[in-house]
Order: sequence, then structure tokens, then C-alpha cells
Amino acid sequence: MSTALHPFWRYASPPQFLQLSGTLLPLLWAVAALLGLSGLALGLFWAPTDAQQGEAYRILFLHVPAAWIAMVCYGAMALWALLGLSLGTHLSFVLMRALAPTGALFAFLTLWTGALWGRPTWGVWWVWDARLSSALLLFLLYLGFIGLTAAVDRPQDPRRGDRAGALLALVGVLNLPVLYFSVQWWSTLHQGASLSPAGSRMAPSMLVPLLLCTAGLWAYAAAAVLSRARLLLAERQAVQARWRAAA
Amino acid sequence: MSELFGTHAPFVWGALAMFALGMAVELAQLWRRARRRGEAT
Repeated sequence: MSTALHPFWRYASPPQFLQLSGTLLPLLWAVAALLGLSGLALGLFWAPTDAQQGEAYRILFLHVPAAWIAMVCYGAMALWALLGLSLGTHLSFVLMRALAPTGALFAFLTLWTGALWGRPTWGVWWVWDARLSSALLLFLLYLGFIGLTAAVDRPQDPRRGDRAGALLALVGVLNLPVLYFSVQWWSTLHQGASLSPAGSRMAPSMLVPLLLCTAGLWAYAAAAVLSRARLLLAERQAVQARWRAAA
Repeated sequence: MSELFGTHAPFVWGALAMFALGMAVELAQLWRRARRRGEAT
């Protein structure tokens, strides 16, 4: 193995991961609380009322970051699945599994807040259009992943569940471009992207709270995933130790 | 407080409440799991 790859492999090592995540976690929880709460306060109480959508638009400060997190968590899950299957790194599968509950939570919150925003804005809680249907499929893929890995797992050996979950994560990633580009590819009730790499047409008084909420919720999601990954590693090590002692 | 967001108040508060509940459940699960892990070692 080339020594040029050394730093990469170093971070595939559980002790290195535990050390790095242990350092990052207090920072992430602090950023999540500080930026998330300040963004929410500004979004709810300081940002002006929208001329077209009235007060209901304030749901945007929760809905948009939740949707981004749900999508990116699934993409990250698929990436760790690919790394785990191709390189056989144990930590990749642990991170893949740690992402699923947080991704599922944010996918559910995207659907919930979307329905609450849709009712006063469109007059309906739900429509079976491309954006909403692919968002529902994303949530179902997360539930399917969690159910499949739990069903296939053997107490003494999580590798079977790891591989089955990784395959589902890789197949399901095809839904992500459909979800992201659905508002461009098809005519839907859903509005276009709030922010894009080309920039934003939002007023700064709305954009600043949105960016703060996004940063805060990203920090929260990262902290929850890292905490779960640390617990998963510890639980796997404990199970292995028990089986070795019994053998 | 409901006057704060006018007729849209139930929608805004409903979104906020589910967010708070969802995150509280996730944090409680992580905390309980960590405590169990701590007791086992």
C-alpha cells in the first residue's frame, strides 16, 4: 500500500475516529445550540412577514435545512456503504448505520413541516407530485434500511446486516437526483430551490436566519451521528469481547 | 403567543413542536444508550 494513502487510512481506524470525534463533539453541540437557537429566534421574531405567504413562510427556517440534511445524510450513507463494500473498512459501515436514524428523523420532519406549510399556502396538506413523492420515498428508504439491517443482523456478527444495508443504500441513492431536480424536471406545486450555487434572491433579513438555522441544524445532525457512531463502536466491541470470552 | 403568527399560528407552532419533539426523542435515545453502555463497562 502506498504511503501516500496513509492519512486516509489513519481516519479509517476506530481509535483515531474516537479521538477526533471526542474533540469535535463538544464544539458541535455548542455550535448547534448557539446558531440553531439564534437563527430560529431571528427567523420567528425578527424576519419580516412575507408579502405573498404571510406568516406561514416562517416554516421555511425549519423545512429547508431539514430537507437538505435528509438528502445529504442519505448521500453520505451511500458513500460510506460504497467505501465499506469496496475497502472492507469496519468504521465505514458503522458511520453508514449511524447516519440512518438522524436522516430518517429529518426526512420525517421535512414531510411534516412541508404539510404544515402546504396547507395554508397551496390549500392542501399533500399532493402526489414528483418532489413530495420522492421525499416520501426517501423517508421510506431510511425506514427500510433500518428495518433491513435490524432483521438481517446476527447478534455475534453485524457484517451480514452491514452488507445488506449497504446494498439498499446504494440502490436508494438513485432517488436523490430525482428528489433534487424534480422541481426542474416536472411541473409541481412545490416552489423552486431557495438557495443554489448561483446565489439567492432572498432578502438578507430572511437569508441570515435561514443560514444560521442551517448551520445549527447541521451541527446538531453531525453531533448526533458522531455520538451514535461512538456508541455503535463500543457496543460492537463489547459483543465481540463477550463472544471471545464464551468461546 | 398564538397572535404572534396570526391565522397561521397553528401551522408554525405545529412545525416547531414536532421539531422539538423529534430532536428530544433522538437525544433521549442516545442518552439512554450511552448510560446503558456506561453501566455495562
